[in-house]
Amino acid sequence: MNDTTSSSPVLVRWLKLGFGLGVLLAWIYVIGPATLQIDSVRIMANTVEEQGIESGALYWSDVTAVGTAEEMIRATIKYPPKGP
Amino acid sequence: MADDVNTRQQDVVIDKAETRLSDLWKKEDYWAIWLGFALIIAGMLIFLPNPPEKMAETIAQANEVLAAEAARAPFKTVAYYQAVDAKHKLKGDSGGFGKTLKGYLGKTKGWSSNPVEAFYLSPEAAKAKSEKGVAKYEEAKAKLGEALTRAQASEDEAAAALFKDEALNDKAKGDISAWRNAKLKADKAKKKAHVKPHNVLPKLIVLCIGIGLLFAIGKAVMGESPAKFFVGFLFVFAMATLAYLAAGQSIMKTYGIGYAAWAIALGLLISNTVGTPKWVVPGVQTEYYIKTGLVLLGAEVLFNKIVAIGIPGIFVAWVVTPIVLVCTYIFGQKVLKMPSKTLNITISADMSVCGVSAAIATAAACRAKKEELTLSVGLSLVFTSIMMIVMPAFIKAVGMPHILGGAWMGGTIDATGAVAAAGAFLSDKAMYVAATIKMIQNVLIGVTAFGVAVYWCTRVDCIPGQRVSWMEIWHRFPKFVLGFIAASIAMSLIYKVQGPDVGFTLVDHGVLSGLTKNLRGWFFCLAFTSIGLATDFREFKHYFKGGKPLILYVCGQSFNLALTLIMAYIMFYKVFPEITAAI
Repeated sequence: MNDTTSSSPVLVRWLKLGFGLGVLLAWIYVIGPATLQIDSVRIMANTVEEQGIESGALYWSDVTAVGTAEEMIRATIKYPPKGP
Repeated sequence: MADDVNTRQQDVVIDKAETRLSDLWKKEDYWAIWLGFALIIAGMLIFLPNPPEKMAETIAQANEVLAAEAARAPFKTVAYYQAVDAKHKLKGDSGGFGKTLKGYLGKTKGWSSNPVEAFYLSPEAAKAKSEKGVAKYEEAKAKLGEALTRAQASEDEAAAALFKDEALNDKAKGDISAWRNAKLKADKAKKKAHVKPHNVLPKLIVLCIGIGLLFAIGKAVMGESPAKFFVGFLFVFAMATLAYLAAGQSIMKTYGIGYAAWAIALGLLISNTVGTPKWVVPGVQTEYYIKTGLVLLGAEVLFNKIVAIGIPGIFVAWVVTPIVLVCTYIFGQKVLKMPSKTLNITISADMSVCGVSAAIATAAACRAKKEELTLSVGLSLVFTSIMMIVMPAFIKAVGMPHILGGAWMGGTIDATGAVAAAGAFLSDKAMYVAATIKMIQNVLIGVTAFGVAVYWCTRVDCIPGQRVSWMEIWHRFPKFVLGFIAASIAMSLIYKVQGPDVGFTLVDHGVLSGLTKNLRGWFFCLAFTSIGLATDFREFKHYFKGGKPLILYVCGQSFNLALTLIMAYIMFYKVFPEITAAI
């Protein structure tokens, strides 16, 4: 599809693909888990895991927590607790 | 020369329109509208006439309780929260055909170390996982029971003093908050103690064939080979599935690295190493997928929804965002002298509005190149990953009030999912404020896309000083944007007629959650995979010259951070302190 690939020998191209996949797998299995040593990252990992937040979601409708937040804020605005 | 023009046309996120009657069935812009609306109408027919049992009664009872409790106590009582929970449980897509349909539109499941579990989990493995979670669930359930008893007792004590004793009120508020946290933990523990076996592969195959046929119909009518498209589509869908698989890994979730990043990365890896196979090329249809996804996204841009969730948030999101968007664009043109206006506006919108979704809509509206969209998305994803971890840690370290912190993060972190995670990192209140501000900001995507499309047609894509006729503007205008706006208006009207409670149940958790948002996610994932499969990595060097995109993003985001913090403070602590106190 593009010119970058056509000039290289087939074996080199497949080796490049293998290397690229290796980097991605290293990110998932080695580098990512290693960053859990950092406190903030570990807390975030626990928060995301415990609350099941779709942190990679693009839009509000993709995130369940946004619905919960909306419901709670809407109740707060419409029925603000004032007491006697 | 003609070849150059053709090449440029293929590079942009949308093509140039010329008006003929046959455009209605020959152009992707219109096909995006037809397909998008067909799906939205199907969703309405499936979900709107089938509300959950006793929906009206449950909503009426819950609202009665809310009104009574709001008048009874100066804080949210146990019954107040239970009434909100009762309404929240009502979901249009939780039963019958809607539930089955939703099951067929899903993606791969989450996983930690074994990717096979994303596709298949045997009954034995599910049972073993459930058994591991049972002890924790029992423990969480017992703690929840204790927390509720304590919260109710404290509330009763405060009530006995007619809610006049501040110390008793504060104790009750603290115990009720502890009960809410215990409930959250028990809910999650329950899920882990009731792990169900799954096999998503057959459903993915059905979904692949369904989406493939849907787009192939359009291709056939547009005069292209549906068979060749379908064969290529199979590969693109498989890659999109891999992107969802990678995004579902637990560490990737921590960093908010979603399917968009993985789809581009995997596509780039293939196209820039072994090359995208020729038989795949007919299925690489970035514009077709993006435009159809955007029409579906239009249905999620619910203007009147935001009115119900608060004026302070509207000020924070709707005053700061346009200022930052326009200033960043001007800064890029006048100070940085960015050669590409389309890259400038795409980065500005992505940084100031709502990240990747805004970048997609803006890039399509101004006909940005694929590389420009990819670069904007890449910048947004990197900074989102950093900000979603650094910002809550900073807010905690400096002791900033959580509501202010939530508003600040909601207005500045690009992606909605990352905002929810960053808010939850602090507290439930921070999450409520952050998520609702982001939601209000999300709605700006419609105004931004429309405004950019009009500005580009009238000011950018024309010869300086030349007067542009209305007909010429119509020729140039990306028509799918009209479908996007029409879908937004139509769904907003339906939402308004139904009211926020019924709308939440039947639109949010019916038409959108049950059908269109899942398909929109797949269409965007297919689009990003296609972008990766069609992009030459070397092209980025040209766009990144002088590091201008990075400087633009950093400067714009710094301005955004400062302005949002000031506006959030003014709105939540000076203008509307009573709303802040009630949250």
